[in-house]
Amino acid sequence: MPSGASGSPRSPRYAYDVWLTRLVDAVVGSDRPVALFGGEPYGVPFVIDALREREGRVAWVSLPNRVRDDPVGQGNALASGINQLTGESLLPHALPYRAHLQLLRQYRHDLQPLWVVAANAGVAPAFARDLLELHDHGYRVVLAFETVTPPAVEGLERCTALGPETLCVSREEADLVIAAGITREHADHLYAEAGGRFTDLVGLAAQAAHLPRMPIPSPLGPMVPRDRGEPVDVPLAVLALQREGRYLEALELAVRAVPDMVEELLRTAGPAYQDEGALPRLSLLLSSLPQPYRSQERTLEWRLLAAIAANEWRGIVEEVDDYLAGFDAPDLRARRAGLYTQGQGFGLAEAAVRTRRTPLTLWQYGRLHPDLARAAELLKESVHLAEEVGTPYDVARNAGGLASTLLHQGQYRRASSWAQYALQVFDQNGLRDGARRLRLFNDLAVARILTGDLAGLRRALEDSQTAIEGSLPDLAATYRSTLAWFEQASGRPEAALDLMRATYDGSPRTTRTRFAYQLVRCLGEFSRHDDAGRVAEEAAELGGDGSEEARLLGVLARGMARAMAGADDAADQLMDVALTRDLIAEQRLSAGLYYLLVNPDGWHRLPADVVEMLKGLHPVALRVLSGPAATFQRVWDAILPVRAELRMEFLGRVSCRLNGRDVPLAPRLAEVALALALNPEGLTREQLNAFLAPEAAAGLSPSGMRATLTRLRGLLPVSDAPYRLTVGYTADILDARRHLEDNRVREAITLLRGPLLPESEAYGVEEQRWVLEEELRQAALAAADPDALFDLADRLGDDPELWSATVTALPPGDPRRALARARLRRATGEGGPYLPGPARA
Amino acid sequence: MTREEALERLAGTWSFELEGDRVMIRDLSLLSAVAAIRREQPIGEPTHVAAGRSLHSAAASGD
Repeated sequence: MPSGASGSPRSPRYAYDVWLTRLVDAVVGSDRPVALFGGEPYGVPFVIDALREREGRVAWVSLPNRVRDDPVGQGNALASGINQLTGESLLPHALPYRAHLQLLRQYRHDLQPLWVVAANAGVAPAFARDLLELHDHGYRVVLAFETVTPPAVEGLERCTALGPETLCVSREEADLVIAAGITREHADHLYAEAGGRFTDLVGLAAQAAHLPRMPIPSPLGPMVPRDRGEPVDVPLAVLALQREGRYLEALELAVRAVPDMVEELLRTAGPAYQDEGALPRLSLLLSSLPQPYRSQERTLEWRLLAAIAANEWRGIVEEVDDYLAGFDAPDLRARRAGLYTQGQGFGLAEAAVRTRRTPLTLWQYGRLHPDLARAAELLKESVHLAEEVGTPYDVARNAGGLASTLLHQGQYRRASSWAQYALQVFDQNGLRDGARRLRLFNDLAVARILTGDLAGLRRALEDSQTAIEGSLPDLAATYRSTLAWFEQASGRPEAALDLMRATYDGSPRTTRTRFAYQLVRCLGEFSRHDDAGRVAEEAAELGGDGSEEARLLGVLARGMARAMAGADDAADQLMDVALTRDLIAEQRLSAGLYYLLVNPDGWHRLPADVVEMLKGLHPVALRVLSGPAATFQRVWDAILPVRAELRMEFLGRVSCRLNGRDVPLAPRLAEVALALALNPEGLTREQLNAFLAPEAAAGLSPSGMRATLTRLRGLLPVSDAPYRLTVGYTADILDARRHLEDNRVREAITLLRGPLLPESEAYGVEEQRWVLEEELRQAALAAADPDALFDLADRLGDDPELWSATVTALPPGDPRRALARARLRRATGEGGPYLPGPARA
Repeated sequence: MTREEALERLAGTWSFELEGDRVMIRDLSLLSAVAAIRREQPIGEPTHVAAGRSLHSAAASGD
């Protein structure tokens, strides 16, 4: 509501301002979270609306009754409130609200100042309690309750409570609300009748003055007062809800009162429930239908899908099987096939697709096909079919399924392309199923790590993993293991080991085996062979769910550990794994690499497809799946083209290997090595001294220079003046420059693990550091590659030009856009209210 | 899950209050949608007939 009057001083707008100002002042002035009691009769919606008007950054979260006892529904409500405010899809849907609270804590510097106001908070006491914790992280929190007395919500004692005694309109304020021309006695009567309740008083005053009633503000838009609601025939209301895109409510109403509309309505409402992660509620709703409606074909299909999500499918399978005995029902048959193991389900999926080729039947058929090459062809067809006749959800699901199958086959570049496409479809069509998006993104990340394309991954992986930690344990463990591979690829093996250790130790016994071989790999980097052996033995003994896959993963971990320890029996164990095509390519490739460690001449014994995959592996994938270099260099050299004798890395860390052996370089020697690497024609003593000296400081003395060069010559082959390296060499900074010259900005950014010799203050190093960053910056701006821009902008801090280009480059629906906009706002020093982004497609 | 179990678990979670075969609507945008549908509905056509027709056309358009 605008402040200030624009008309008669007795107009309601002016009059409300007095009351509203008093209350908004009380809310804003509180240094604690605020709890408002009394709801609509006491004018709470007007107070929140006025707060929104004054403060600007207010996320008004509406908690409808249907999210009672539903943490995912509560998360959706919170996400809607925040996303509506930012104008972007910052927070995903279909995740428990704790994931959103984690993200809000994570993004606090980008989002604040920000108010979070939860209306009807009594519906979700645990949510309300946890929301209060945001106050400790700098957010302003308001809880609004419909009751006049505090409900049983933990933490309310820490709130500033504004109840009826504060919210009631005083007699003096009432005179401003009640129109002129009404007698004092009549006004007294109206005030007494309203009991000081603002909304009631406004209604009575309008009635007395024959004025129209003020609409009541709400997060969903204005509403007519409670006593002015319009009774509408239920079928008409269902249609209106559907027209407004409010499919969840439309179906709920139809289920209650017009069950004959449900079967048809499910065409639109079913996908909406799925997209919102609300399938458990859909399961309840459809189960509450009377016969014959609950057993109609589409209803039965959605009942099955919803029951699977609610893990209650065993109670419905018999009914589904009875139906399938009498009808073709291809989509229902395809859903049923997914409940069997691959071998059993394949026949059913085949029968379904023979009856009718739909995006669903073809997807399921491809997913369950035992021949992986044929499976990929079928899934590709299923994507085309979904694009022609399906929904965006079908397209994203089928493209994601194809990416997953390609990952299984070790076709990482193709997997990366299809996973990227699935995500684009997902984001650009405003799909909201956050759990599915996270699985898609994880597949994309794995494919990109194993193809050496790391641009833009770190922030997204870290944010996702933090968000779901504690609320989706299985997915969080998967993300941690992907992050571990990312750290391994980025040359941070300590971080990789910490992540895998936490993942392994935190996993239940039955799923530990999944992660044992990755932990063994990470321990191997530090030559901790005894620890690796213990983990492998423990995993093989304790882990697993009794399946063949679990047994083989135990064998893989044990084989890897024993291979590093030089044991002869490792080869047979690893060969068993390499031969098993049911395992994913990453596991078979690991087996192949460790097999070659113990049997360097054993190429011809490995399965042909493993050999082919090994030969196509990116160098980064080799480093991720095996290591350390000191142990595996011989294996890698047999796979990769001939390498230079000397390899040096200066970006973010110092690493130097000469003829396969690590060479430790002290900081000063690393600076000299960098100077020589950048100048293949050689440097004079004066030039080298100018490079090494800090800006405006004296260089090394002649004796100091001699001593430094003598020390370096003890490690690397360096000529007399002009000083130069006398062997063939490569260096990461030179690789990055070559990528930039060839317009491969993603590859260049991938190499930028950190600043050039970050601790060095040598003039030449500082200059090169600045020049390289500027070269990368210009290349990213010119390429307008969203991942490269986001990655670089995130590393370089508050660079308005980079953030502005990032906002432009990121597609609508990408959750990073909201962050990029916030960072741009910060970088340009704009402290004003959010400017919503363009409407989503 | 039986129908009775489902109804029991749904108690207290409904979004709308029913009054017989009608539902009370206060949301202005929803009331506008109701008015628009009424305008499009041929005079004398029962609501449930219009409902069936609209549902089919929504599905056909992929809405």
